[in-house]
Amino acid sequence: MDLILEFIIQLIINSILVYSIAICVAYAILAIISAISISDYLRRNKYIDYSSILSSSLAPSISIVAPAYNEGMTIIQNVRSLLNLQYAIYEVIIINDGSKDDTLEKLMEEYDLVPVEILPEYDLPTKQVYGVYQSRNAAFGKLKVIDKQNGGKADALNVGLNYATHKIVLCADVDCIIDDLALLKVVKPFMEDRKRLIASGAVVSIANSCKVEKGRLMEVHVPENFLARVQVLEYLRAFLMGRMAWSKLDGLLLVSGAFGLFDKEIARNAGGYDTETVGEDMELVVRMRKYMIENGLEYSVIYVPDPLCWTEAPSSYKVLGNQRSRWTRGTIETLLKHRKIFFNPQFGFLGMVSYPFWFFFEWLAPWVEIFGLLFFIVLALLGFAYWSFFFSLLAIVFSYATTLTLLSILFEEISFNQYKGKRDIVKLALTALVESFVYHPLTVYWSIRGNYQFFSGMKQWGEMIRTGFAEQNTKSQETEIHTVPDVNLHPLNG
Amino acid sequence: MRNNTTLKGKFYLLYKQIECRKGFLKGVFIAAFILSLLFSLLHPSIVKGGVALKKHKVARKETLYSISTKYHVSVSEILKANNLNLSSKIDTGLLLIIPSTQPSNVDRGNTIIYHTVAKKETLFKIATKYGTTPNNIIQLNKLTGNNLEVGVTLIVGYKNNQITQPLNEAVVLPQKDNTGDGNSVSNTATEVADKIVGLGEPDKGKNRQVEEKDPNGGRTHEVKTRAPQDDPRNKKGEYRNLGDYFKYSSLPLLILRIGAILFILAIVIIAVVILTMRTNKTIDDNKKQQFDKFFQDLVAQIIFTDKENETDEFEEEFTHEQAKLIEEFEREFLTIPFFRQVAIDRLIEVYKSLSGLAAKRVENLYYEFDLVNDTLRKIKSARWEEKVRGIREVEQMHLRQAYKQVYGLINHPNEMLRYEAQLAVLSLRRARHLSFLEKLDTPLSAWQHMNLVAKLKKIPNYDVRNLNKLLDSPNPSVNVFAIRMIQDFNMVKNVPEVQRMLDHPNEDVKVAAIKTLSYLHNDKSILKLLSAYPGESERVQSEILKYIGVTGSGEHGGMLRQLIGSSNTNISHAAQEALALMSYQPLDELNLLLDSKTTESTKALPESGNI
Repeated sequence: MDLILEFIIQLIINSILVYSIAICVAYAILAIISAISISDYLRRNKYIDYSSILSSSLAPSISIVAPAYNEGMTIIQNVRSLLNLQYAIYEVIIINDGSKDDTLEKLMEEYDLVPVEILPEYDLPTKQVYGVYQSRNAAFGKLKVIDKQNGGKADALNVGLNYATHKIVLCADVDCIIDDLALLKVVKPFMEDRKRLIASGAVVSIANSCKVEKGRLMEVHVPENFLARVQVLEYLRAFLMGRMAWSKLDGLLLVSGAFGLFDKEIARNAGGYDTETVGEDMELVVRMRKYMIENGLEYSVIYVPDPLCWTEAPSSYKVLGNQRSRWTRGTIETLLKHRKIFFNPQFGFLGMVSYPFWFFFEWLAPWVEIFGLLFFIVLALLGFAYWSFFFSLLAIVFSYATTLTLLSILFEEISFNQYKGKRDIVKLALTALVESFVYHPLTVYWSIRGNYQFFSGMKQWGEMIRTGFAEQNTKSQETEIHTVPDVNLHPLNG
Repeated sequence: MRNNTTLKGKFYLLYKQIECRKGFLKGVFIAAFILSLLFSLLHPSIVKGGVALKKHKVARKETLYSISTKYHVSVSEILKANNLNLSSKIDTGLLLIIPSTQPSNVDRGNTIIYHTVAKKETLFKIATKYGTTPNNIIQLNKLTGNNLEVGVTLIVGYKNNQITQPLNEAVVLPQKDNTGDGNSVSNTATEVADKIVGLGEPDKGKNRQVEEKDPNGGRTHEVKTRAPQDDPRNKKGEYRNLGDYFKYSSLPLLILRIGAILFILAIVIIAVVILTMRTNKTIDDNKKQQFDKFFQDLVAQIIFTDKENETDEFEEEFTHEQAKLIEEFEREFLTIPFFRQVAIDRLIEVYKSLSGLAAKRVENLYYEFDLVNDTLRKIKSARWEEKVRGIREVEQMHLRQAYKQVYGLINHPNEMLRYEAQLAVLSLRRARHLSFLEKLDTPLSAWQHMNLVAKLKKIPNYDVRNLNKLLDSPNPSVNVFAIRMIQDFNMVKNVPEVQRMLDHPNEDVKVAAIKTLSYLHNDKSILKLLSAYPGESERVQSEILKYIGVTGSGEHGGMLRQLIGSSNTNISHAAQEALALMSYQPLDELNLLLDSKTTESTKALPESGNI
């Protein structure tokens, strides 16, 4: 009896230890690869002249698909900035996803829209489409507005995929600010001789406290709001350390919903967005990869480290918490749906590294963290805590996490240097010092809650679909960026 | 006047630098915060809590006394620490907390002197050795007789004060064999804790290891304790110095702490690096500002002033004032590599926006300042980014003397480098601009293709006479390039050559040819395509269908309609698209066809190859 108990306790302690070391090492490796990848990108693109692509007829054409739901307040401004992007051939498809406000009316009035007879190019199943509108004014020739029955973000994007006429589809949130040069920069990888590029994304940055005029970003500042500021760090870490490394390794599983480009043909063939998950952006990339591998096609998914898309981050605990819980739910849904990939050598790097990484270090990390903490508390209450060891461990874990965060600030400083003010950078660094103590526990709580929502929702799945649309949709209008969550490290027990 | 501004600029620079240091102050505060964290880690209080507490599991035949001698603690202290009294049973397997090595009846200023009994040593010998009496030793160690066991450690006295006060308790509890197993669970848990503590101990050489058989469980357990004579700590349980701390604290703990310290140092270093980069950037910007002021003057003086000998373009000499200005500029800035690069960048910028005489003057300046050598040196550099930079400068300043060198790089294995070289070659050539492509054996990306076209179109009177030659190139991407160029320049008379390319084995070439043919209409194309159709791959077939759709020749509508029913979805989609593209085709008919397709799908229509 004693032996077994002793063995079990030892086992738990050791496995938590091994897990933690593994996660630390994994993030260190990612950081190193990111550094290489970013410096490579910077060197390659230092002297790039984007002006030749502007006038070239050879540049691939792009369809921008942006679903709008109850955006009446800002829709005119947003669409105008989408129409003013610098690019030769592109169209803007706004999908009015059954808005209850005057989104469509405003668009019709402002852009002088009239109904036109346009048939979809493709037939992904979607909710009913009421009509397609185009402007009578030739100046707005790029604009198409599609009115449809409410069906959620994924459903709206599928309508966009059906109607898109160009080769590359950019799925974007209508309310985010897209850099004028974004299309020029993001299209370059599509034109470089490589394997077929099926999906691509760019860094999404946080626009809180930035000066915005007429849908354009004038000045960049670190958000005043603490919560938004911490998210800046999270995004830097996720994009500059996580995604860049995965992009280099060609193991990227996620292109953010706020700004993601897809090869239209492959996206359609793979079946478009899945309307049954809240993590449709990740799900699509995984499915497209799966499609390519199963059909024996060469492909790649890459990331551009340029900050090309700016979005308003939630600055209240409630909204942010909901967002994070939803991301967790989306991650679980995607991972479970494609569990076939898990350690399946057929899927190569995707199956052996990317998927397991997400499974162990994204989904399970908060669980291990909570479990480790509870386990330690029990031991401590029984009087077996070895406090000196505990505190040392805590110190190393926190200092490691902070090191990584500061490193990502350094990457940002070296690469794109968005935050010009010295005050800004100091503020960010100070925020990094307290993040682990103040903010990190919240993210763990939110993601555990997401797990709870997922598992409790499974039982009443059917009901959720029927009643959940309106709510789901409002949610989906919030920013959709998955971040590689915080370095999930936890106090170990000694 | 100019001197004055320079001086002022220097002061400004200095002021800016000091101002930048303010950022450092903040950095120092952060550093102080982190350092204080670091020191709190090292603080002895943490150390004491961790190592001072010892536990001992009672083995068979062990008595309180034997334990007390082992750890050099008095029996009463052990009893007190474990809430026991003299009548309590000390069972085998019982876990005892051993209080720290410092006996309570010894004044804080005193240190115990120990002696380990060697062979043939007697009480008397030991007593004389330490200047005390045998009785004293008997009392201090609560011995029952004069017999000494070899290897037993004895307390022989205290430093400073000679002992005056004998210890009261001289009790030896008789050992009892007992099999109390009541609290085995907590015992085991404690054991685990013990082991964890044990983990914390350093190398075995410094430990005394006691292994005893437990008759009840029949298993071995270990209790590791630090031998007192090795304990490097003073009476307060602190290490005497940092060296001892690192030497004696447990290994995993040590690793953790060193790790934490390293990471904290890394944080500080990264923070400093970030701030330094910031500061350097500001300093560079200021330097550039200062440079620009002077530079603008210079450019205005030299390039935009009319001179009497304007007609004499090639023999142009600088006037006396200008020469002076140039000299000053060179002395002030061009001795510093940083400013040389800034000068190159600025001159190129100016050069780009100028033409004719003014541009010539800028070129002269480039030579005058000997910046050409900088550029040529870059091309010879081992680092590819430097090379790219050099090639760019060559191209932008039209430094024709570097043509040969650059030409040698057009097939370089580094993609960026060879693309840059190709662009430079293209713009340095005087005629037959694209002929270098005949020598190309590396692939061209769509991106490079676009850049080449853009560059070519910027050249006045560009010359593309040799496009047909490129069609014969063994490099498929050059073929594709040539075919697209034919389309781009509307070279209708080259259509037969493009039609010829339909027999090319490479799929990309075929697809490009079909696209171009649909753009440059020719009656013979369709026949050629239709005859080629059956043997082609799916991709090429789709492209041919698209051709039929775009060119919209009505007689092939039937074929398309038939193909909509194809079991191959891609072909079917392509046929649908083509049909939709045909302008004569009413949309209703397409819809009808689509509807009928669903019903007809059971009837397998002939495969695409049978038309």
